[in-house]
Amino acid sequence: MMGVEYILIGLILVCGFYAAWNIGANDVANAMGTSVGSGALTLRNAVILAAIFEFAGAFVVGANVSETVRSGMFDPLKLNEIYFEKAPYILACGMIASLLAAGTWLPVATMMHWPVSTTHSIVGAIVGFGCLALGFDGVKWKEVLLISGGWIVSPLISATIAYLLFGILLRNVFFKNDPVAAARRVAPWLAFVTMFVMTGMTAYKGLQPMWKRLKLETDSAMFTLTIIVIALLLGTIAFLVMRRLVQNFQQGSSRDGSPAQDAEVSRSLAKTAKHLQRVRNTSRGELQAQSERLLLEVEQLQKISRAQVPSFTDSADLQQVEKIFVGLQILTACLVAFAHGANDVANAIGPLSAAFQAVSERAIAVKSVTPLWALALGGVGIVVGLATWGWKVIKTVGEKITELTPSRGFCAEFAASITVLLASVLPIGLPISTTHTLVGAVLGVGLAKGINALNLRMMRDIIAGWIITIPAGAVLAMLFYWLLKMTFVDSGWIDDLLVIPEK
Amino acid sequence: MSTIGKLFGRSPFGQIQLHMEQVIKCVQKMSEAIEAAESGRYDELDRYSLEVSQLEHQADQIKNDIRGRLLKRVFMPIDRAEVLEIVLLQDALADTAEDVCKVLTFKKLPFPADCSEEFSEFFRLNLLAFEIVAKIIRQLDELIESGFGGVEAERVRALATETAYTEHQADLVQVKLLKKIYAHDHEMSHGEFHLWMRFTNVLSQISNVSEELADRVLKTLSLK
Repeated sequence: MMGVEYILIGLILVCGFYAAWNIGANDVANAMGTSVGSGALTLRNAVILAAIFEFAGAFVVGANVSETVRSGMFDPLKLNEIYFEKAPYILACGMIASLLAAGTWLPVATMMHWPVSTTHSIVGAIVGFGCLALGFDGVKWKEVLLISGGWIVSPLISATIAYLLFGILLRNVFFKNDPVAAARRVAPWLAFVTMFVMTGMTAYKGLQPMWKRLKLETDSAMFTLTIIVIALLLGTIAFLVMRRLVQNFQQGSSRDGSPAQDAEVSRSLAKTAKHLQRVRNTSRGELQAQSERLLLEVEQLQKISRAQVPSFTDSADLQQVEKIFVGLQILTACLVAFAHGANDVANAIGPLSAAFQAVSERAIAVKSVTPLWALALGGVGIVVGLATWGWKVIKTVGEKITELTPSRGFCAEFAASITVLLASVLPIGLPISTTHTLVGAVLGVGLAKGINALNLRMMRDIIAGWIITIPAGAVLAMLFYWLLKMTFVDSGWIDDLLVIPEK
Repeated sequence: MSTIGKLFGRSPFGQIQLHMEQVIKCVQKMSEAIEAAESGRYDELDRYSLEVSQLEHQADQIKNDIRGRLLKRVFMPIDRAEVLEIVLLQDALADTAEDVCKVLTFKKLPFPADCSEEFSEFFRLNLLAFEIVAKIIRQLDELIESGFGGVEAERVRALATETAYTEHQADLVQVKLLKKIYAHDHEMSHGEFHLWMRFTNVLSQISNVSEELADRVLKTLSLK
């Protein structure tokens, strides 16, 4: 009767792969759709880049969040105290049930047009299983609260970053008299910062296993220094590449004749006039006469400055600026795909590796690392999901959000990917929703007067999504768990596999 | 379908520009109607007047569509009320164009020869004020692109000042024109004289409302 073990393992792999497929099919679209919509990437290139970076993110940084999903919400070892020798199979059933719950809830929610995320369904499902198997007190509610807190905080953080970044861009590029030259100056620096932060955060987690294999201390100053050097190096490469790329961009020849007239100049003059008026209105005698005279002079200056403002439109210039940002947006699109892979692969791989380890070793490990092959499997699942279904969703999303120009898309994607990467490399890897983080970032750009119209009803839907998804995931997981337990454990099917723990 | 896709609401800005294009058509037809009245082609005048009415009605339909886009749940870079005011002022321009044509069809209006210079200047300045403000609305997308600030905002500010100046000049010419019309009062019937007063009054609304519209757009540009 060895068959049941293989059936269980087969079930685990299939369910894990299905969950990864789901992520690739539905979630990647939100990450890449912005770039396709703004025209920064063609659909084909977007799919290829997404595949590469999703896989890389899952493989390099994915383990950290997987640990949280696997053992962050309840302590699997406690199962031993209640179910004794059956504990590994209880855990396996629970994890399969969680994967199945997320796998059935997501298509339903998508059909009902609810903006739910894989992350929320899987967390809800595991909490549900923990409640049923260990009782209410068995769940680490503190950690669950921390994770749900992350869901609220992550969109806020990304919105703030996007707001600030777009504000900086407005002031330093779009408000300038010559936005093309300003964009050419700023773009390499933005590329540097993006690359520096991305490689820095990735290397912090990604290099740790390698350092451990070399028997080197990961909290030593040398480790930090290596990361900084690598990040600086790659940042500089990005800087140089970007500088080469933008070299050929020139401002429209339309403005050549007129003298340079910065918006700052007329604004300063307007302020001067305002202050002089205040002086004139609140003073008398000599002072009032003098300020009156000065005010007239300032008004004269304002007339001169107004005459220097060219009255024709130069949308060509702004289009050039957007072209410069195309390169940056491609960079951040890759970054979003990478961060998404790093964070969301855990939703499939966390339960999968926990169940697989329990069944194959016939015991619940005290502490184990997520195996590399599992991360690779998750990465492949995402890529397959992307290739078989996700590209269609990317296409529809891309067609819908043409309003997001490359500069706005860059800000939103940068903010979202930084937030998601940050959550992934925290000491406790937080599973957060990439989609909701990106929604926050887009809202941030909108708040900085960057987007024509935003549908705020999405906010309500997202919050409703949280409230519905967690109980739904929990209930579904309980149902599947009960079914699986009936089939495998209660029927005595797995009795042959039981190892009587040595006393 | 997709969270990010659904995040984007229906923007009213494209529709505002579309509405303005419709208003421009109204004003163009109105100017043709005035020319027809001046040269005594009254059957053409009736036709133009009807066309203006139709164009104005089409503009109204666009206006209603814009209202539909201003739902409370849609977040925009400028205030909902300001968008509405801009559209209402544009609508007032179309209405004025329609009124001018209607007034002209009431009765045959005599154009005294010695007033023609002042009248054409008055007419020209009103159209000019409107053209400048139309230019401002046409630059609305650049304003959004640059986050309602910077050089684009300065450009709109300069144009708004120009509109105000043109309106002022139109007022001065109107006074001159009216003085000459009053000098002709004994040659005209009461009806004709009254029609002249109505006509100049309504036509001057074109520059007045244009100035108001320019001001309204200016108000949305915050001085940072």
